[in-house]
Amino acid sequence: MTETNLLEPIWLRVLEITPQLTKATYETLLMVLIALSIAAVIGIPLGVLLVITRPGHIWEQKWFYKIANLIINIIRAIPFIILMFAITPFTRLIVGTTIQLKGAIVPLVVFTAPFIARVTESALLEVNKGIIEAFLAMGASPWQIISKVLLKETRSTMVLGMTISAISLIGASAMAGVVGGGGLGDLAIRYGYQRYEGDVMVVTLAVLIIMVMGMQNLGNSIAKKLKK
Amino acid sequence: MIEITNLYKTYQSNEGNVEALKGVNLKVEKGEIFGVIGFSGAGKSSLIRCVNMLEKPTEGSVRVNELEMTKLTKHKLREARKKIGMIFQHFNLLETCTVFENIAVALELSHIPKASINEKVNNLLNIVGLEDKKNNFPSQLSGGQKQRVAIARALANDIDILLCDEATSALDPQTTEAILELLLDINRKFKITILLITHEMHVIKKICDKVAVIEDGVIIEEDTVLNTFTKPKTQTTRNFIKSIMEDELSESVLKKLRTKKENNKILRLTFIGGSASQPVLAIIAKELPLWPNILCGNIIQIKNQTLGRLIIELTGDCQSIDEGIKILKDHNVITEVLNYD
Repeated sequence: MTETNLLEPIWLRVLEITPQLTKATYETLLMVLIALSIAAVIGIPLGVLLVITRPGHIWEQKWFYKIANLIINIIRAIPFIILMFAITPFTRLIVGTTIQLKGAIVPLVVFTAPFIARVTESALLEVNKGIIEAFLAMGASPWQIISKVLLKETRSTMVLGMTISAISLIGASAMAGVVGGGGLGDLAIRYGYQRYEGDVMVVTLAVLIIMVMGMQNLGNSIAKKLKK
Repeated sequence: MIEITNLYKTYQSNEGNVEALKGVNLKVEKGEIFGVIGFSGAGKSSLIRCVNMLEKPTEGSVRVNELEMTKLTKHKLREARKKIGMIFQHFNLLETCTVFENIAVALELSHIPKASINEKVNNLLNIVGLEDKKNNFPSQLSGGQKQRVAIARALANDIDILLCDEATSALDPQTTEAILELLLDINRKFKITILLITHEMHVIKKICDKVAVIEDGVIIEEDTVLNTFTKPKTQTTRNFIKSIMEDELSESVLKKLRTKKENNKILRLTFIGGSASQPVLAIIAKELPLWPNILCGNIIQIKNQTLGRLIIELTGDCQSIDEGIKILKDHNVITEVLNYD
């Protein structure tokens, strides 16, 4: 029996776990998409604020900049696996539970929003100061400068930044699987690691690799299109 | 149109305060092209940026169109800025937008309806001569073409005043000529007042009506361009003039002059407009026992006037030389005796 098991072609085992694999893929994608969307809604404006409130910029707010900068650095310093457990009271406050998809989304958002803020910040800082000055001289309002200069000029870089964020979210979502969020990471750990089913591990990793490559390619091609 | 009174600008930094402007007074009349020239660090950039409050003055008043710019609210300031165009040394266009979009965006800022934006942008493209480039990106344009886009963008909101911050400093000589022609054209056609800053005397003589020389945060000289060229008051101004008009004798020529035994005088003659057309040197040589010898000469065009300058050696007896000088002066030639001993 053990011998046949060993010789059993991998695809047969794949076929066997297809339902779990599909479910896990779906869960991962769902987690990434939901967390990414919410994190973007928080992170992009935060990144914009980090740029425009710094000294000498269009909406200088020294203290806001210093405090936001500090908080982001602190959150970014905490490894996700620790962050996830450390903020459980907060997670419960927001969604009422710390497990399942809902419970996983909150720490993922807390983890990714500062990341997106930094990605946005570094993209926006690339915009030539002279262009901003030219628009100030044309009588543009701060909001017009954000929408017509900062975000418009960097839209290609921003798409690449969001791609990086999405991919780092896939990694984090694997850890979120531990609290019952499910997903591919969870599958790999439960079958591949805890039950020593190496083939499941391999298949799961293959799906993750395809997912990462697909996202990167999609991001690259959108960015290319937006770049002029 | 623009009235700057007692303007001070001090920059604070960790190394101490830097006084960029120290009590500048300036008045630019409507329809004029006014040039401010100075070496880098003289404060000219701070000065022009104080006009539209890109730089907030430390002290003093800036009035544009009777509006005290230093006291405007943010909203009022934005409205005022829409009527003051500005172009820059490095063009400052949106790199990811086409030529058309780069101009249209200025109109979008003023919430102008889409239909009229299209018509207006096409009209502006026509003015700056870039109709065929409307779908190109800035990276596909030459420096001169980029500056044309910037000019079209500045003109979009029917401005009264155009500020030019070293607008031709990044361009080659031919392109500079073409851009200056365009500015001159805009000034005449649309009666737009232009205030420009530059470090090139060439720009001043080509298009400016008036010039102010700034040094160390102070205006050291201000007059019409012609007067400045003919009667410069400071050494800095003379140096600027020298950059486009050879005005001094070379050492080798001077050496030869010093060893000469004959009685002579070195004269600098300046001819303006009409006086340039008379053969004055021939006249004095014919009427008096004098031998004029041209050592150095220049003719330059100052906007629409011709300015000629000669340095001559006049050989003859003292009395004849004095009479000769009188004849020159009678013919409206500005005559100065140079001392080279």
